Amino acid sequence: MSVEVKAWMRRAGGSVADAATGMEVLASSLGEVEDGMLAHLGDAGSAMGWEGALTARADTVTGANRPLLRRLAEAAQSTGTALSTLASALAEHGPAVTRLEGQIQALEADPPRTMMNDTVGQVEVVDWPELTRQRAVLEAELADHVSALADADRACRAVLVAAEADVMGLTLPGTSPDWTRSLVPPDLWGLFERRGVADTGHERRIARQIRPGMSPAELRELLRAIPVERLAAFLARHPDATTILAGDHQPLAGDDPVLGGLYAAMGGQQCFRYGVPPAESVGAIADYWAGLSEQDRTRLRLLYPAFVGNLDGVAIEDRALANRMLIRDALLAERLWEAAINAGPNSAEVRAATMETLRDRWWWNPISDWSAGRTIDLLQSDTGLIVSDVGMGHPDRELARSRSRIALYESLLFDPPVAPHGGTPLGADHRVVLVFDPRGDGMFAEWHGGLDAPQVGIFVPGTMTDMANIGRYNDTFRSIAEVHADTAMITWMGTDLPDAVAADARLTQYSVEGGHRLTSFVEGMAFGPDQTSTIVGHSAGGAIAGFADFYGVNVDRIFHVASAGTGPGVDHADKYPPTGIGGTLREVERYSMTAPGDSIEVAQDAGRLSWAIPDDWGHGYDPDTTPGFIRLETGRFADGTRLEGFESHSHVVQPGTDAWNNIVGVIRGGQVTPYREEFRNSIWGWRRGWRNVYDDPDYPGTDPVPLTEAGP
Amino acid sequence: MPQVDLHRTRAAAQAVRSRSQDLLGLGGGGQVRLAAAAPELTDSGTQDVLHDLHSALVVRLFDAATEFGAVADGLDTLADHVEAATGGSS
Repeated sequence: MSVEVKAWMRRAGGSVADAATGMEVLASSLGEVEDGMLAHLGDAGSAMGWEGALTARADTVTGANRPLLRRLAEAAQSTGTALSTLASALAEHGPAVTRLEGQIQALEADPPRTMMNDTVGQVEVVDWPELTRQRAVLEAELADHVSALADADRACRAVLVAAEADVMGLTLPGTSPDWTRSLVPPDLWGLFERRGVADTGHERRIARQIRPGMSPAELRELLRAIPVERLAAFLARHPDATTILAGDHQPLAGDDPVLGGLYAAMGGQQCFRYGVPPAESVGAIADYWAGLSEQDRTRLRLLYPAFVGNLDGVAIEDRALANRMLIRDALLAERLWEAAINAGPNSAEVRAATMETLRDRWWWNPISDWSAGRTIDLLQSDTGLIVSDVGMGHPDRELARSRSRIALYESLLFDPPVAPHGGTPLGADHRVVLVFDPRGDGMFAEWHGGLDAPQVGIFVPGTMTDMANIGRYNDTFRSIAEVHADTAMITWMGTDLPDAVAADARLTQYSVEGGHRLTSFVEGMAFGPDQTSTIVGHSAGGAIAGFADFYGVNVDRIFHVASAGTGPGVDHADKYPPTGIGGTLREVERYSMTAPGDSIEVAQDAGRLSWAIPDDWGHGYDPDTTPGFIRLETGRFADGTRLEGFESHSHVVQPGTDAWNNIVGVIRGGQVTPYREEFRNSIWGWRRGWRNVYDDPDYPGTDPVPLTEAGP
Repeated sequence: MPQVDLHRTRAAAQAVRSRSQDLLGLGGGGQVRLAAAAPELTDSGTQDVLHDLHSALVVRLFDAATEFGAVADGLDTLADHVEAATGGSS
């Protein structure tokens, strides 16, 4: 077919029309917000003695002086209109394109025929002139529709590009937005300045000195001149200042005695191990923090957000508030990164360019095309099982990962928490993010549910988990707190996790660092005597839980789920320390489960093979067979299918399975399905020996029992 | 100490804060649904602009909500200070 038809041209445009409607509603809603703001700001002015009136949009204001809210609304309106036009074009032309393509295919499959004389008489042959004529008619009609769609696409794109430039241009880089100032007349703005509702003249002079590239220490020196009670609002009005502060992860105490005191509480800045304070010092940090005035806590949180937001021992509410600043800043940075990837070549283009290079280099090799293509396919594959970072671009994947991070950050800023947190410095609608570091693979932890919930679970994920995909686990485990009001869940990715199974998941260093970090984190949570805490470690996260156990983490239960190991040299639970951090007596209940055929079994054997592998490989022993662990059954899906094989490694943390019910049961001290074996004689089809009862497909299933009765 | 109507100032602060929450709602899973249209427009010229514009709108809505929230805080702080200084008589 000579007319090029792209897949989108065959679509009906339903989601485009929906997006258009959303934009038009947004534009209208922004108009209402502007009207409302005008009225409320006018009221505020009147309450302060201002004698003007602001009750409706000043439509006479034009040009660049238009309020920023209105310019935002205009961008939304133009986007909505352009998308609506494109959706209409799709609705009109899309079905015609599909119909005409079908007609052309049918014509070619069953072309017109004619009779002609041959030496054997009359025969039926394809009537080529008629076929060509009919096809030309159909293709001409098709070309008209395709052309109309292409025109609509070009026009829509042009409007959207302009709208994006307008939206981003509302605040120039390195400057502060002026949403409020653009709404009100100068005399009212002056009143707001004099009364300290907006930037005072003094603050505005400080804001003018903030410049890109300024060091955090220089900025903090500037900000000293702003009273602490005005600092949060100032930073909210000047996000460029927040960006500078958000990049300072381990600030020097310098001449800040309060920060110096915090370092002193942990034994000095040099005491940081694995990026966190030693677990033994977390209690002292908590005591120091609790002894600070509210003003000092606020100042430290605002001036050192990346440090305070991730420091174990700092109060949960202050961590969450600091991390909210970081998330907003990360969202802006990620948006810029996403745009940069989006503007570059896609994966297919990178592949083609790489192929061309290899072709030039291996011109003498007749199979170079084939082998190069195979190699590139492998390196661009999504599995991540073999290699993690090969230095060759896969922009499509990076784009998808960037968009996943954006979705996570937006969710953390905008979506409500499971339970409102009234009565704390934290806003009732704020999420409780306890760890946030967007650098590298990222680190993250969030508390879901009531801060005083009697049961608290801490889920530690495994290999290949990073900021681009932690949102999936976060949503899954959040559901436990949503269903059970007496249970809180923490999704904890407060450490760097292995990037690939074969490349680095075997390395002990991940468990060592993760174990220390997890131990300090739990100390920082300072669970009360009425709270039951449980760590659920999955895969590499199980090994981290095992190492934390070995370091004396203070929790009540540890559940190894398809775990990579028990911890360093732990072939019996007796080898875990009897006392925890701070000398507390430990009475940890330990559980485990692994589905049959899960590939993690290879890692679980590392302890037994210690004579054969390097010292920095492996994570201990198999918790399923280590004395002192209570083994549970991974069981089946709700439809009766058994959890087994390679894929079961992920299925064991999937709701709707017996394994998931066990996770919930252990965290809540509820019902679990115990692991059971029975002795099988040499019945046909079975080898003689002890077998899992679920090996028999007709086995009806083991009844769940209370957690206290799950042991052997 | 300036004459300030405490009741009206606090009411204005609450109203401004409520409007800033409206802005957050519009950005977070509200009316910005551009990215959801991207799959249907795969390979079109419009598609690769959708995500950028989507993010830009969300970021700006958040910016605006944050700044208006700060204004509301400023009004409350003003009312607190005036109340503390006057014993609530202003």
